[in-house]
Amino acid sequence: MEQLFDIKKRIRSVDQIGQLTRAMQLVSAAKMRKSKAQLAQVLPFFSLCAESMLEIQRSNRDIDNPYFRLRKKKLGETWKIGYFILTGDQGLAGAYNHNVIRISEDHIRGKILDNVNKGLKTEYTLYVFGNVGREKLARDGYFVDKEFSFPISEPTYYEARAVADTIRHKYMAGEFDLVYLVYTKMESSINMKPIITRVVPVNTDALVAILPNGTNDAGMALEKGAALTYHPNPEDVFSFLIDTYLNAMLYGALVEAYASEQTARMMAMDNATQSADDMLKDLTLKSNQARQSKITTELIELVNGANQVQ
Amino acid sequence: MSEGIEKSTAKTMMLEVVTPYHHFFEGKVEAVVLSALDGELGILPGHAPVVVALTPGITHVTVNGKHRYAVMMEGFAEIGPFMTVVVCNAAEWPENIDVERAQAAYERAINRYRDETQNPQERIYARNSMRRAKMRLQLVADHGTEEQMKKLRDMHTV
Repeated sequence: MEQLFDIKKRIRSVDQIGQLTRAMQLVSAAKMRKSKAQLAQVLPFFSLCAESMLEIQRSNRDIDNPYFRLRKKKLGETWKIGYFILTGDQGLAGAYNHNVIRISEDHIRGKILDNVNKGLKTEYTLYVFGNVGREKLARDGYFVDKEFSFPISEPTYYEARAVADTIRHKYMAGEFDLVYLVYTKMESSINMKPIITRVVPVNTDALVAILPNGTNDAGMALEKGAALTYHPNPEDVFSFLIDTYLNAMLYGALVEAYASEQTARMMAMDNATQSADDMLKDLTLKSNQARQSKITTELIELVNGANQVQ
Repeated sequence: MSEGIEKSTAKTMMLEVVTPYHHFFEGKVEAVVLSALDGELGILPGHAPVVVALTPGITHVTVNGKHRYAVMMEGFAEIGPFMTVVVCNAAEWPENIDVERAQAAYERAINRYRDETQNPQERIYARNSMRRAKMRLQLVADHGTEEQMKKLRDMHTV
């Protein structure tokens, strides 16, 4: 019977895909565990930097530092914006890449519209980590810096520092007025949220938002509202703070994005494996039925044949 | 703040050293000497609140009357009467330093720094990494294990 043969063929292919997704799930699970451990190590550093920035800005409303000052634009002038977008190098991670790309596109469109309404021009450049996002955004007609290519997997602090240096350099040279970072934040092990945050000029509200929940007061050496002094002088301390802050921001975001990607892929592959198993069960049942009915038909044919001979 | 003054006569304070890769140190200390931008800065319990910029250098901690030394890279420290928080790019105990690697990094950096054809930004990087490597070597030379010191001597006599 033709049908039985077809079902067997499908069973084979589903089984093979199932094996593939199961293997990918195992790989992602291993990578996820590793990246989560890395994330747990970087979080205290990351949140301490953010907290210090917050505390210092709170107690010094009038500090004058280019990294804190939002540049002012007159009618007809141009806002130059740099976006650093963290996507994955590979697909098959559920909605992970899609979500990051979607909020980036929404944000860019929103910014342009907003500036047009105010009579300002907008210039933006996208710096995309990960092939999937880079190709998709370039295909969608956004202005992507093609030279910029950076490995997204297993980020190191050293790499983060190189990117942070680029940001610092371009910001101070006036190539950017605003720099945004788009990445996926891990709210919990099953909940990942894409977020956009402004890196420079430093945005205090955004800082509060990216801090891990409930760590707002943890480990502060300084009493709130205490008069602070800076040694040797505020400028030097700030330049170090900004340095460390930018590095920490980038590194934290890279680690978090990588952990999110692996988690998303693991979940997607888990679902795929489960679907494959379900399908396999279904197909096996069908194949058994088909075999059964084939045997029944053959039996009937035999009995009929025997009857006729008699 | 009167309560603060009372407490500040305590003999110890908390020290926390945080780096991107690990929680380097957390515990009660009697004193800590940090390498600030303009030289070493000693902190005792009850210090007035101050934020200090740190440059690569050797940090000296006193725990239970014992002295410990570590190398810390650029970062900053928040100092309060009861607690000091150091946030820096890297921190290492002498026994964890890879002497050969530090020496290689030092030579690489010094060559890049001396190369006049490099752009100024590149030379600043080189100078910074030169300083980092030098501080690691310095720490090993002063407080490293016998084995590390021997390695260091061997390298310098070659």
